[in-house]
Order: sequence, then structure tokens, then C-alpha cells
Amino acid sequence: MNHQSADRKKQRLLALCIAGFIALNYPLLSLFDQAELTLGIPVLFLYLFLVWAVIISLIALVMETGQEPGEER
Amino acid sequence: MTLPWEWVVPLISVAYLGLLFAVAYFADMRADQGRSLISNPYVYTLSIAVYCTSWTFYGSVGRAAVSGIGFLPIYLGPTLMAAIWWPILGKIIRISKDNRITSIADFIASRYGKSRGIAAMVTLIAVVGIMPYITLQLKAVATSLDVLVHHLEYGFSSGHPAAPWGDTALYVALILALFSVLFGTRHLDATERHEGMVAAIAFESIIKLLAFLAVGLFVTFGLFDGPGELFQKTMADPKLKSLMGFGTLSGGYSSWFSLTFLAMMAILFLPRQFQVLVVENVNENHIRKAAWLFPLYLLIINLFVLPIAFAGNLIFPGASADPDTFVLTLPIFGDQQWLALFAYLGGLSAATSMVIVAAIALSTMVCNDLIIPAFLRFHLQVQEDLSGIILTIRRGVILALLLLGYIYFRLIGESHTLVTIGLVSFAAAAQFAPPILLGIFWKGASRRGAIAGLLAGFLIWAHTLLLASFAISGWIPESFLTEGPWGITWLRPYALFGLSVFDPITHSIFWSMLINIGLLITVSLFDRQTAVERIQALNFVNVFEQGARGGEAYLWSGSVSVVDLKRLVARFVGPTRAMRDFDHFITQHRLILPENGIAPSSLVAFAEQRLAGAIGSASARIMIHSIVKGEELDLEGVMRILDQTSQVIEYSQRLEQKSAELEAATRQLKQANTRLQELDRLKDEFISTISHELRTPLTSIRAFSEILRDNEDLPTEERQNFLGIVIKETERLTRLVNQVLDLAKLESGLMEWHPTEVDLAEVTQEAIDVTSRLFENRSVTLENFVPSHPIILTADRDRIQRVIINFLSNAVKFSPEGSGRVEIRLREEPAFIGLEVKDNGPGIQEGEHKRIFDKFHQVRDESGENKPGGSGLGLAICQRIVDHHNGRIWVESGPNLGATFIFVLPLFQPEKKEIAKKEASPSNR
Repeated sequence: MNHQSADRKKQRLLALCIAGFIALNYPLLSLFDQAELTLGIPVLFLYLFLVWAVIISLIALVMETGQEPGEER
Repeated sequence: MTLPWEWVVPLISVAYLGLLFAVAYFADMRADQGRSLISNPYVYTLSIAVYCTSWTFYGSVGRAAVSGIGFLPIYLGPTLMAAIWWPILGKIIRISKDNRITSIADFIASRYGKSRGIAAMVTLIAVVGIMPYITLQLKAVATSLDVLVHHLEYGFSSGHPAAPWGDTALYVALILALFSVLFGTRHLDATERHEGMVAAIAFESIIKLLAFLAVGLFVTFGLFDGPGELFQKTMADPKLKSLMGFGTLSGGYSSWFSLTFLAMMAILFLPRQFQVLVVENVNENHIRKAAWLFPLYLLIINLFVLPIAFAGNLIFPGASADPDTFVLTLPIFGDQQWLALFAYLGGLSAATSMVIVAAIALSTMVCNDLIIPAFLRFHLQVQEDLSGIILTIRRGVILALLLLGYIYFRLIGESHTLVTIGLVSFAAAAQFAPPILLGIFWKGASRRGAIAGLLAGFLIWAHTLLLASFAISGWIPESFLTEGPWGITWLRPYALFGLSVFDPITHSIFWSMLINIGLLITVSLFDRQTAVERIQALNFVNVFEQGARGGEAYLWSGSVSVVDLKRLVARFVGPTRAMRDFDHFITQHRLILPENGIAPSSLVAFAEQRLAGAIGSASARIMIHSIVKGEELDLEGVMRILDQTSQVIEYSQRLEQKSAELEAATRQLKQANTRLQELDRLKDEFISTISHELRTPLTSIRAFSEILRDNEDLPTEERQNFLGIVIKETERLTRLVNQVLDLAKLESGLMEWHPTEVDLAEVTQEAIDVTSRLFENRSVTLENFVPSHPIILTADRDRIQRVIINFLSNAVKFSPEGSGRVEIRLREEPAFIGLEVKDNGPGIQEGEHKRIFDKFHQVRDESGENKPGGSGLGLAICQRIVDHHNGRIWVESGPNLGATFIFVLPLFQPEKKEIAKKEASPSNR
């Protein structure tokens, strides 16, 4: 595999990490700082676990697509 | 139930540990057969889950019960870090495999010039930092055992367990030490991998996940009617309702931020995480799956933390049960003794896996980086087999570590909750992040920088967290906290330098990271690296580049015999293993070596690596040094290899640049070639058109000349007529040739220009006079709107006049004979002057407007008659003349609307210099 797509993969992962850090911190988090239930679940709880699940699926998406095992890095 | 729980629970615990022995034994057996159980990403992921200790199992619920969502950053951080494992962890693993690195202390020491001092320092920081964490696990196991037995025996009637049941923690420590010894130190391995241990902790990860989920499901759906009811009841309680937001989170968002950061660092740099992630890694590609499976594991194990915490708060209002033990007490409350026992086993799994891995990782470090260097100092020349001694040392270290943990437990007592102790350890491990992360991406990071950063960071950590926790426990006077040591207020551990906006953890992280990173960078920038440091820096940073390695082979240029080398390695790894490894290396590299001959530097480097696997890179270096005679370090050799490496890199960069240049050149050539072909085609067209245009008058000249020659008796009148035609055609020919020449000159830039001050009104008037005969001949009227006052601009007089004449003669040609009407006018604008000539001829179709300025393009009537007798070059020449004067030329027209030809010239030539240059350039060519 060529260097470029390997580099691209690393850049995607880095962007994902930064985006996740922002989504899971102040000030975005303060939007959900309410003692209320949505769908029977506390809003803050729901938001954090949803974002968490999205981050995990995106990592899986980036890691599992593209290159074959044993690729050059 | 009348079971004697007091005896059943400990027996089951021991039986469970026996099961772990079996799993580990089986995995080790499979490994010896070459059919590894653990060589797949799933076991790798489960082994990473050693991150979830009893802190997760009991402590998360405890923290959630008092601060709501505040437990979560500890698991969100690792998820974020897992996203960038591929680039970062991948690099660390590759480096560790290349350098046979077996612990985090070894990694840092190896990066910074295989320094013994730094290895010892990292080891000390790790031991001091992790010891409370091991204590925490012992405490968790002992407490959970006591709580379980007490409530199983007496229910909830008699309140808290009165006295600790025997000395549970001591037995726990001893049993765990036994287990760690059995599977951590079976033999000295070059890679320091422990398949049995990994299999056992992976198994434990499954048990703790299942146990926690079982409790969560039971509490949510058994004790309550699903999460909906549970959360609604929680909302109804005003005190619990406050747990749903951030209000109860001590330290607020800054604490949230710093905990996330702390967990990001901890997942990579806690010694036990480094052990499972890097040292026990079988295949780098396992990261690919682990990077998302591990966060998924964290998410699942955390799903029921809040429900259990809320349920505990609802069922045991006030503080009738310790939140840290809700996981056990809730099932007992629901009369599910066996579920409680299962939960207890889950907690036991979480605690034991952490203790075992941490003990093995720490013992490797303590043994390789503290004890062996000291031991070698006194026994350098002992020739006996040391591999047995090393193993004994490690076993002793493991036992000592666990006993230390126990003593610490007895001393620190009940003053801290699980979470606080864990965070203190995390903050210590975070001190390793700067030297490692900067070290693998920045060649400039130097040994002295790393030492300064680590030392300062560690001291700040010790002051702001460790000593502060001692003060809370009452070991040192409380005035240490409130007034600072010796009454120095700006040294108060929770408000260093008066900074008091953060909670203690954030405060400590802020100062220690700031100073750690700051010193590492600053000192490195003013430091001079030694040769070993530079080579190791290159090896680490460029680990993925081919040919980056190899520098260390030049480090040993002194002489040592093959047999001495073999004997040395044999002392540490055992003679049979040493023999096998050497033979393997020698056949692999096709070396022919007499036993007493001098070992080549590559073999010396190999021996050093082999030793590094057993006793750490710093000690290995010293050992080799002790038997190599002659100069330890051939600086010139080192510099040579450094130069070679950098030359190769530079060369390849130059090559890359050259190839990019070549590509660009090729592209330009291609473009030029296309353009040339186009020009060639145009030239052919031009020649064929011009021959055609020349042939027409020539044919008629020839025809009429022949008639005149052959018919001498032609009437004079007719003869005159024919001669007139010949003369006219000759004139046309002359005109055509002149125009072609002009055009050629214009295009090649050879035309000479004579710009002068010109009165355009006068020039136009002259042109009208010149063409007046044409108008008379075709009876076309010319309406002259040219003003009488002079209009001055700079231009080439003759050429501009030619453009006007061309416009006028074209207008005459296309105007209908008799009824033709042509208007000419000048337009004066502030910046430019326009001239337009309008006729009432057939007009020009839209599509032709541009093309009429092309060479040889002639406008033809649709009917085909009224063919104007022009060369098709006139307008092309006009356009070039106007262009040269920085003007613009165009036509406005439509069919049957007549045509208006216009050109505009700027009043002031914008760039006189430019014009001058254009004038000058022809002579240069």
C-alpha cells in the first residue's frame, strides 16, 4: 500500500480523536447539563453514551476499511 | 441459607484462583507447542481490559453514587486515545520489538541513550506511583470479602461489619504474590512475554464483564421495573435528581477535562498497560481490532454503573451501606446470594488481574533497572550462571512489592476512597507521557531534558498529591495542607504558588505537566546530545524508515572474542539458550567465525540486544562494556554512520525533488509539444490559404497575358482593357504580399514601431480623404462626425491610420451600392478614445464576430454573390496593431442590422516602459 493512504488514515484518526475530545468536553457538554429525562433516560447520560458509541463506530470504520493486514505503515 | 459462608467464600476464592492457574497453565502449554492461544486481537483486547480494576468494578458505582456522571472521563479518555493508537501505539510497539524493550523504564532509558540513571528514576517513580494502586486492589478484595461474608451471614440487621475478618488483606497479598511468581517468572525470556498470564487476565476480563452485567441487569430489571422506572424514581428524589447534571461534580468542567486527559495518558503509560499493550503484544496488526473493541468493552461495562448507583441510593437511603459495595449489597438485598458471590468473583477478577500484571511489570523494572545494576557493580567478574539468580531476584521483588502494598494498606487505612487513590497513581503514570511521546516524534529530546522534566514532574506530583494524601491520613500534621510546609503558604500542596482555582487532581496535573514538558523541551533545546543518544533518537523516531537502524553496530569497535561474548550472554540467559541464539544468528547472517576470533560489531550488537531482553538495555550496555577491550565508543564510526544515514535521507529527498521536477518538465514539454503541433497545423493552413490567394490573381494575370501574346490583332480598346486587369491583379498581388509580410512581422515581433504624439482627428480626416474615391465609385454616402478639435494621444501614426482606412474600405465594400450609408465618429472618454465606423450592409452573424479577426477569414454572403475582393488579412492586421497599443477591437452587429466596427485606445499608454521594452525586444532577437 502506498504511503499516502496510510498517512490519510492516520490523519482521519487524529481528526476523530480531536473531534471526540471537543464533543465530550466543555462547552458542548454544558448544553446537556439538565436534570431531565429523554426517552426515560437522563439527557446527559444519553448524550455521553451516544457520542461514545458514535466514536467507537467511527474508529471501527476507519480501522477496518482500506488496507489489508500486513500493510506497510 | 445456612451455609457457613465464612468458609465457603474463601474456599471459592481459592478455587477460582486455581481455575486461573489452570487457564494460564493450559495457555503456556499451548505456547510451548507453538499453537498460541493468545495470538489474536480478541484476547489482546481482553488483556488490555486489565485497565478495568476493582476501581471500575466497585469504585465507579461509588463515585457515581456521590457525583453522578463524574466516573465517566476515566473511560472516555481511553476511547479517545484508542482512536490514535494506530499511529502512536503502533510506533511504540515497533520500537520495542526492534530494541527488545521489556518495560516502560527500559523504553525511556533506551530512547535517552541507554542511560542507567534514567531507568532507575523511571522505576522509582513507577514503584512509588503504583504502590498505592496495588494497595487499593488489596483493600478492595479484603473489603469485598468481609462485606460479602458479613451480609450473607447476618443480612442487613446488624449494620456494618464490625471488625475485619481475620487479616484478609495479608492472605490476599500472599496468594496473589504466589500466582504472579508462578506465571511471571517461569523463565527468563528475551521478549519477556507471558502467554499464560495474558490468557488468565483475558479470562478474568470476561468474568468481570459478565458479573457486572449480571448485577446490572438484576438491579435494573429485578429490583426495579426497568430503567424507566428506576430513573423516574431517581428524578422524584430531589437529592438524587441533582446527580443527573454537572452540579455535583467536584471541580466541574476543568476536573472533567483533566480526568479525560489523565485517562488518555494512563491507558498507555501505566506500567501494567504498557506491559499488556506493548510487551505482551504478539502482532502489531492486533491494534486494528483492539482500537475499537476495547472502547466497546469499556462502554458495555459502564452501561449499568449509573443504574446501580441510583438503585443503591434509593434502596439504602442516607449512608446505610457503603456506595463502594453496592455491587455486592444490592444482590444480597434482593436475596440472590449466588449472584452476589458471582459479583464478588468479578471484583476479585478485576483486582487480581491488575495486581498480577502490575507486579510482574514492576518486578521486571525493579530487577533490571535497580537491583541488577547494583549487583553487577560488585560482581562484575563472577563467571557463574546468573539466570537463576535473576529469576530469584524477580520472585523476591514480587513478594516484596505485594507485602509493601499490604503495609501501605495497614498504614493508610480507611481514609481514602477507591477512586482517589487510583487517580493519584494515574497522575504519576502521566509523568511518563512527555518523555515518551516527545521522544518518539522529536529527535531533539535529550537525556538531560528528560531527566529534568521527569524529576520535576515527579516532585510536584509527590508534593501535591502524595504528601497531601499523607496529611489527610494524619501521617503528617494537617497544617501541611492548610498553611504549607514550614508555614510557606505558596507551597500549599493544593494551591501551589497560590493557584487555587482547580480541584487537587487538576491542580497537580496542571503544574506537573507544565513543568515536565517545559523542562524537557527547554533543556533539550540547549543541550548537546551524546553519540549514543543521537543514534537512539534516530532509531526511535525513524523506526518505520528502512535503513534507519544499524547505527549501534558501530558503537562497539573495540575487540572481544566470540567465546567471551557467548559466555557473557550465557551467564544471564542460561548456556543452552545462549548457544541456540548465537548459532541461529550466525547461520542467519552466514558468518564464519573461529571460536577465539574477534567478534564482528554486528554480533556484539546482537549480544547486547539479547542481554537487553534479559536485564534491560542500560545494564546490557554496561555488561558488554565490561568485556569489550579497547575504546568503548568509536566516535568517528558513530559520526560516519550518522552521516551516512543522513546522507541517504538527503539523497532520497533530492531524488524525490528531482523526480518532481522531471514530472513538471515533462508536463511542460507535453504542453509545448501540443502547442507546436497546433502551430504547425496553423502554418500549413496558412501556407495553403496563402497559395490559394496568390494563385487567383496569378491565374488571371497569366490568362490575360497569354491572350495578349497570342492575339496580336486585338483591338486597342480591348487590349487596354486586358492590360488594365493585369495591372489591377498585380496591384492586388502586391497588396497581398505586403500584408502577408506585415502580418509575419507583427507576429514575429520584428515590426518596428514609431510612437509619436498623434492628433487622431487629423489622422481620421486624412483617412477619409484617402478613401473618398472608393465612396464616390460605389455612390456610398459618408456621414462624418469627427470633431474638428485635435485629439492627442501617443501612437504609431501610419499604423493607426491603416486601421481606420481598413475600417472605411470594409464599410464601403459591404454597403449596398447607391443606397449605402456609412457613419464615422470619434468617442472621447476620460481615459480612452474610441473610433467607430458604422455601415448599413448585410451585417455579420453573431458566430462570426470573433472569427472575422482571424487570418484569411472572409465574410461570405449566404447567396455566395457579392464576394468582397479582400485578402482576409486586413482585420487580422488591425487587431494586432490595436493590441500593440493596448487597445481593444471588436464588432457589433446582427444580420441585416449593418455592422459597426469599433476600436478603443487608451489616452495614456499605461506602461511606457513596457512599450519601450517591446520596441527594444525585436532588435534583441
